[in-house]
Amino acid sequence: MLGRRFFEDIALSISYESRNTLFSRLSIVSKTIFILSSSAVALLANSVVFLLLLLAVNMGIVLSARSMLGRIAMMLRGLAPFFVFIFVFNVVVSYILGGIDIVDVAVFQLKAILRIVSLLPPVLLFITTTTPLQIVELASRLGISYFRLYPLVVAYRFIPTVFHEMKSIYDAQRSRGLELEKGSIVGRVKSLASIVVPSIVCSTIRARDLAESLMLRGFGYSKNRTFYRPTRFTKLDALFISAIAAIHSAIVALAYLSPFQTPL
Amino acid sequence: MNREAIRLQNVTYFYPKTSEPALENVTLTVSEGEFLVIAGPSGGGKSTLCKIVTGLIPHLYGGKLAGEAYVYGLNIAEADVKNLVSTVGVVLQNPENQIVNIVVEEELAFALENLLFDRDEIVSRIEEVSRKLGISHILGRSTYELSGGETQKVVLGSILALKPKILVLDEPLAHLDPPTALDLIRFLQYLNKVEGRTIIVVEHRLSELLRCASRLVILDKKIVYDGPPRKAIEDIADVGSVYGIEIPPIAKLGKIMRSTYSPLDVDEALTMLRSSNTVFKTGLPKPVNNEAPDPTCRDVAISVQGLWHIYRNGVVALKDINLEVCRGEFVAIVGGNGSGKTTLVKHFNGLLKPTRGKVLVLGKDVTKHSVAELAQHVGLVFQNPLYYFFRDTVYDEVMFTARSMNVENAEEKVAEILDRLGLSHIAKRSPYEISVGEQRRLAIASALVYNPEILVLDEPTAGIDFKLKMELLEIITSAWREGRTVIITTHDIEFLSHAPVQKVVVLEKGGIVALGNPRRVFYELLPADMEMYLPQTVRLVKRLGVDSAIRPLNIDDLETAP
Repeated sequence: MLGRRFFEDIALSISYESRNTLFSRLSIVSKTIFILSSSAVALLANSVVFLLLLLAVNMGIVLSARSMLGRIAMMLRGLAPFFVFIFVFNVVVSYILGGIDIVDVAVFQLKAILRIVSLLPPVLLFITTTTPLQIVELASRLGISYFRLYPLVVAYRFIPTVFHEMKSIYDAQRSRGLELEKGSIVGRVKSLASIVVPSIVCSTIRARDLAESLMLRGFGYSKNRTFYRPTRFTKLDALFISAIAAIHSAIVALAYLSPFQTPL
Repeated sequence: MNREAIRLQNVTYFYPKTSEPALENVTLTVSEGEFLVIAGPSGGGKSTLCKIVTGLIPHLYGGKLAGEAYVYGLNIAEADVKNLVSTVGVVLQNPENQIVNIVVEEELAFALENLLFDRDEIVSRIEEVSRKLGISHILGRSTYELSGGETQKVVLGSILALKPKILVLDEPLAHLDPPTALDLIRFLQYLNKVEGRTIIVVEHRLSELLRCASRLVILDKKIVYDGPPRKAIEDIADVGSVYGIEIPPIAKLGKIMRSTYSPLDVDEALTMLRSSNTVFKTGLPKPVNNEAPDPTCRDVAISVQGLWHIYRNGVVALKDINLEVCRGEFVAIVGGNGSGKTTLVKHFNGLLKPTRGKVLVLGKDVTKHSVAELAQHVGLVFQNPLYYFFRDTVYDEVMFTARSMNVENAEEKVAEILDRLGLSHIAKRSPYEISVGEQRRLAIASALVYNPEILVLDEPTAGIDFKLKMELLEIITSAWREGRTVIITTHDIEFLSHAPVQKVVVLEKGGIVALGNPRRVFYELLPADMEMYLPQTVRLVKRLGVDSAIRPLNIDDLETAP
C-alpha cells in the first residue's frame, strides 16, 4: 500500500501542468538556468539558515503558479520515508561507529536534505511546464537527432498510463484474493508475478500499437523534422533570469559577507 | 464512375509463424467517396484488412502476403509506407496507445512535423482540424487527462491534419458511450458527404452506424457479403448470430410487420409505421403509466449511503450516491465514460474507500474490512481480462483464485466451472492464446469459482461482437438465476435491453439521475437530454406517442396484433 501511494504521489507531482501559467510561457533555457543557479547556491550556502532562505525564495518564486504547492507537498510526502530513512541510518551508523560528533552528523544530514528540498521547486517547475518535445527541439538545434531523443518523449508520455495500468492490475488481483502485504518475503516476491506479468503483456501490446502509430504518422520520414513551435527567448525570459540572478546572488552574498554568520 | 481508391485482388495473408490464413482470397474494390462498413466475427480478419490497406502489412508485420493490393494505383507491397501516409489515414483500436506526445497541440502537429510541413501550414491545419472536431478548447491540455471521446478526437485530428483521401477506422466505437459514438458517426458522415473523403469503418456496433454506410462488407476471413447494408439484413437470416454483427434492432421491425423492407434507424421505422395501419400488442402488463413505485427490498445486499468519492488529484467522481441493491437482484449501472460507474463498483469490494458517506456490503462497513475479506463475498470482474492472467494455463488461472479464496475441493470446483463456462477443452492452453470471448469467460470463471454471493462486472461487453455478447448474457443470467446478486456497469444499452435487469441506476457526472426498474427509467425517469441512452425500440415507441399503452424494452417484446 505504501509503495502504491509513493508511486501515486510521485506520478501526480510530476504530471504535466495543462493550465497556462507564467512559467509555461518561459523558454526551456530560463528554466534550466533556474535549476543550475539554485544548485550552485545550494552548494555554496553552507548553513542551515541560508539553505532555508534559498528554499523559501525558490518556493516563493514557483508558488505564483497555484498548483505548485500541492505538487511540492505530494513530492515531499512521497520522498519523506526516504529522507527519514537516510537521516536515521546515517546518524545511527555514525553513533555505532563512534568518533564523530552525532550533532555534526545530524546537521550535515539536515543540510543535505535541505539542499535536495530547495532544488525541488525549480526541478518540478521544469518537469511540469516543459514538454519533452521542447527538449527534443532544443537538442536538435544543438545537432542531436530528434530520432535518438524521441524515446524520451514516449517514455515520459507513458509514465502516467503505466502507473494507472499497474494500479488497475493490482486492483484486479486483489479482487481475486491476492494479498501482497501479507505472507513471507519469498511469498510476496512470488506474488509480484501477478502484477509484473500482466504489466509486461499490456506494455508489449502498447509498444506494438505505438510502433504502428509512429509508422502511420511518418515518424522517421526524414533525418530532419520541422518544429511548429520553436523555442523563443522573450522579454519575460530576460526578466526572469535577471530576477533569479539577483536574488540568488544576494543569498550567496549574505551567506559569505553577512556579519550574522551562524554556526548552523 | 468514381475513381478507384483501393483494390485488393485475391489477397491471402498469413501472419509470421502461423499456418492458418488471417485472410483468404479477398477481392475488394473501394471507389472514391464510398462509406464502407466492414463487419464480421472477432478473428475474422477485419483488423488485418486495415493493416494491409495502410501498408503495416507486410512492412511492419512481415508474414506472407499473396495477391495484389493497391491504393490509388500504388502497389502496397512495393511502396514505402511513407508514401501512403498522406493518402490513407488510420485510427487503429485503442486510440490511447496511439498518442505519442503529452500535449494535445503537439500531438496534432506530430505527423505534419515528421513530413516537414512548414510552421505556418502546421498552425493553419491545427486550427482547421481542431475547429472541425470541436477541440480548440483542449489544445493546451495534457493528453493523459482526456476522456475516451476526446482521445478519439485527438487521434482522429492528428490523422486528418494530413488531409488523407481515405480514412480507415478500426473499431472506433468500441469504448465510446452512445452520445459520443453518435457524435463521431455524424462527423464521419460530414467527412464523407461534405469533404468527399472515402471512409472505411471496421465495427461490430452497427446500431447507429449502418444507416450512414453506402456499402457493407461482411468478412469472415473470406468476404461473405458485399453490398448494400439493408440487403444484408433482408437476405441473411439471423445475420447477428451467424456473423456476430449487431444490426440495428429496429431493423427487425420489417420482419415483425411481415414486410420485405428493413428500417435502419428510428426515423425510417417511424415513416414505415406511419404509412401502415399496424396494431401492436404486448404481453407486458398495461396500462403502466401509473406503475407503483419500486418496492423497498427486505434483504439488502449492498447499501450505499451518501457516498462521495474525491480522488487525490481533486476530481470529484461520486456525489452523494444513495442506493440499495437487494439480495438476488440484477442491477445495471448505466452512464457515459467518466460518469463514475467504475468508481462506484470499486467501493463494493473495498478497492476504494468512501471520501464521505458509507457503503455496507452484506452489512459489513467497507472501511472496516480488507479487500480480501470483502472479495470473499463480492466477485469483481474488470473490463480488461488481460489484467488477470499470469499463469501458464487456463486451468492454473482459475485454480489460483480458488486457492487464494481457500476453496474446498478446489480441483473439483475448478473443473466444474471450466465445464460450465465452456472452457474445459482449452484448460491446458495459455490464457494469452485463447480468443477474446474465451478470455472474458475465463475472467468470469475466476470470479465464479469461489461462489461469491455478489457478482460485479465492469463493462463486460466493451469491444466484443454481438454473438459473444449474447453468450456472455447467458452466463451472467445463469449466475443470477442461481440466486446471486448481479451488478453490471455498461453503456451498451441494446445489450441491456435483452438482459433480465430489475433495477437500472443511471449516473451522470458522479450523481444518480435516474433509478428504478428498466421500464420506469427508460419511459419516465431518464432526462430528455439523455435520449441516446434509450434502446432504439423505446425511442420508437416514445416518438410514436404510444408509450402510455405499450412499453417494450427491445424489439422482441413487440408483436403485431392479428
